[in-house]
Amino acid sequence: MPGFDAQAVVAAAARRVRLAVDPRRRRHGAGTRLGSGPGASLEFHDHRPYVAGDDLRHLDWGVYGRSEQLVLRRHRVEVTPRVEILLDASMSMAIRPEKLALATTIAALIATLAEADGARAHLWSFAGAPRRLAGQWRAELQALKPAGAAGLEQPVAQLAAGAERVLISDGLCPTGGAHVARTLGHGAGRLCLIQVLCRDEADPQPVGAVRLEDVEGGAADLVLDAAACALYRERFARHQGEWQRALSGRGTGVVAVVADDGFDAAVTALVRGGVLEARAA
Amino acid sequence: MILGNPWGLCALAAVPMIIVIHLWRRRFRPRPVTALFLFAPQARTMAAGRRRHRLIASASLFAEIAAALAAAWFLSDPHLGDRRDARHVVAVLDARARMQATAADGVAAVERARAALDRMLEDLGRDDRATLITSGTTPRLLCGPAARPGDARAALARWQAIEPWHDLEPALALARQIAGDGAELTLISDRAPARLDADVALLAVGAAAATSGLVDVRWHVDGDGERIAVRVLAQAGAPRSRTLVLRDSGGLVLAERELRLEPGVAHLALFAPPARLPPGTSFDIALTGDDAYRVDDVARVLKPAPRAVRVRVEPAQGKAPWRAVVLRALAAVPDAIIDDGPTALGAPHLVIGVDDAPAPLGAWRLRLVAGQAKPVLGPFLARAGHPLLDDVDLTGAVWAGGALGAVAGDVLLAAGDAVLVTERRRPRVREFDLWCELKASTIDRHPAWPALLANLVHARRRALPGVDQPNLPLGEPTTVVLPPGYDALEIAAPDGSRARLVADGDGAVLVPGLALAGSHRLILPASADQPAVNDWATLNATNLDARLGDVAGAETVARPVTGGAVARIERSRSTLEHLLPVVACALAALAAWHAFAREER
Repeated sequence: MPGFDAQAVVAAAARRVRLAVDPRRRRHGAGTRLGSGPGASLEFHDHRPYVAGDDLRHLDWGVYGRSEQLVLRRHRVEVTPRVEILLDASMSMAIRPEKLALATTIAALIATLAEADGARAHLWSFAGAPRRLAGQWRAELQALKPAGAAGLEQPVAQLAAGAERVLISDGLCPTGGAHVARTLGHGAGRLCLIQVLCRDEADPQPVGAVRLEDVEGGAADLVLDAAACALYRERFARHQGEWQRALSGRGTGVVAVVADDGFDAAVTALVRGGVLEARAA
Repeated sequence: MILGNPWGLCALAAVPMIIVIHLWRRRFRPRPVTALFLFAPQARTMAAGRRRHRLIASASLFAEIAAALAAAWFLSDPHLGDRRDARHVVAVLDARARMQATAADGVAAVERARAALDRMLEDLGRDDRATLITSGTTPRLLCGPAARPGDARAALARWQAIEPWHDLEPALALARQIAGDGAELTLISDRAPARLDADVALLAVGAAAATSGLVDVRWHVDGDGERIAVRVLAQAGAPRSRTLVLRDSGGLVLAERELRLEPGVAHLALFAPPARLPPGTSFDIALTGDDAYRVDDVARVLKPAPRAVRVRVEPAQGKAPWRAVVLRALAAVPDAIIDDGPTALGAPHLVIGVDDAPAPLGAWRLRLVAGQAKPVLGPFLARAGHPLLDDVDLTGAVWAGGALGAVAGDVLLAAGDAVLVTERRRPRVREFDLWCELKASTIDRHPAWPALLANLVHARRRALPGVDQPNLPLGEPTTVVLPPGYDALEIAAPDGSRARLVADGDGAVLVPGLALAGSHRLILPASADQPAVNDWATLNATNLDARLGDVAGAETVARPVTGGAVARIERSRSTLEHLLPVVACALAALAAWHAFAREER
């Protein structure tokens, strides 16, 4: 991760924030985190009437003594949350070094926070084709080489149902957000997009005659004047709206961070967007 | 430094144009983006804008300028002065018909000349040039100026020596004008001319021979009737005998005469053609036997149409004294037919009278009017060159009754204040007034009187529609008068070519000298109110001239130019010199295209 000491920054941020994971969606078998359903932990969950065959060891004898009703005492389940981080490593993410640096740092932060929270973090990079980053994900993140188009529309075989999925990308795919959300959000407990953008991607300024060269292919000559910028903003807003609609009801939705503003501003935006939450002082 | 084509330097104008284009070339700074699809595709712009930019020394600029320079190099062909060695041969071909005279081997001089010149042209290099000029009354370019040797050889095959006698000097003058001061001038003839400048090479390919031939054939009409007069001349050598044969148009021999010809002495032979033949009937005259020059051994003669002038003296059958005076004078004029009897032969061509009555349509009129002037003895002032007064000498004549004061028409003859003869001209019509009091004058007894009337009749005769003399030597102009209603004439030459000539207000067409021997058909094209006449008349051109038949002085001699000359025509560049700038231009253009594509990428 060029540009700054990512590990130190992540460690510092991890002391201030944690993942804002929805407990209702925590699944994936035995673990150390209380799940949303009944289970075998020591934490009381609720009562239910006894039916034949229930384990008598779970009868609440106190209730029976007070009301002569046989009720079963249920406890909450203990689960291990699964966080799947999908990092866009296409050429568009490397258009400027700070953009890719911010994206990988956010990925490292979320993975770090997930592991610190007892969750299992799984990372995939999308550089042409999805590739899972193995256990040494920190090293792999540092050695990440952007290439080609992201290919976010391609299905990923190893994604688990009910997992917390975080897509870190600029979201600037010509096919639009709906298709990507359908593909990557399939079976997810929650899917959010952390949209890493440069400032001029969200708000281009008139610069005159330029040859626009798409880092993922294609070029066009145009005079980038105020009218062309206004038209771009209009199309960009429409594009963003499509992402918002696609992710509506799937969690926090789209949280945009600006690479030019730096990592701290991005963390603040993620907290404000509901992806992270601040730790109590 | 010499430029093969200075106009090629115009290609250098492309250099400032290229610079201007680059100054106004819109430069697109490359700008990487991640969402090209969000930019409006319709916002793409042309590669040139309105703003002038700083000139950037780009590869495409240099390559384009290099291409323009290479193009200028190719087009202007700059080189040092080492290619100025091409030859330019200017040949004057003697096209007089005597070049057809054959030598003892039976080969004509024209063919020997053609072969010799063809060898000369064959020896020329690719860049050498040749100009061929055929002599003639009006010399003309057979090929060139400065044609390629191959073209000149092709043109040489078309050369024919059929011209009438003419001087070679106009052709040599034209050749000298074309040659400037660098070409090789060569005269191709059958002998050395009497005078030839030292800078003109001579190639004479003739062979001397004693010839004999016709020098004149004409249809002769006199008091003895119609006759065909033939003159035969032997040019040199010993006296010899030849047979003169007269044939009709069907080839039937009508007469045959054995002639004993003395060198240098013309022999006249007269033939009486059959009577009552229609005008235009042709007869062939031929000299039989071997002769080196056969062109003048045959000739054709046409019977001309009669052209008599019908004269009416008014009032007809009168007893006036002037009438007798006029009739007496007209009696001595050939071709004048007095037509004032009770039954007229036709519309008169000429009316002579004393009254003011208008003449019939198309007729000329001579009015005798008595004026107030006193008798005069002279001096007489006559309009010079007027056909009416041609050879009219009034010396000693007493002329009374001239007009005093202003009179209508142009004055042709005057004496002091008295106007004696006037003329009024209208298209095809002339009206003459002769102011004279015959009783007080001696003009009617003076020799000038019949001469005056004879001139009038002859002038009228020449103005009659038709051909005055159908038998013409080549190159001799003649005048043809068209019938009323026609204003143009077409002449169909024996080779099928046609020429259109326009008549003047009197219907007269001046036919320039004919260039081809043989029968030339005269055609009247359709006019607004007259139909076309395909065979209206015929002109028969003969190429008979004693000078043409004289090949006794022919010789074979070659005389080179003293001093030699090198033409100023440049030798063209070699193949390598030709290809080098082209390849350079192509490479520069390719590099410019490649550089531009890279700069725009």
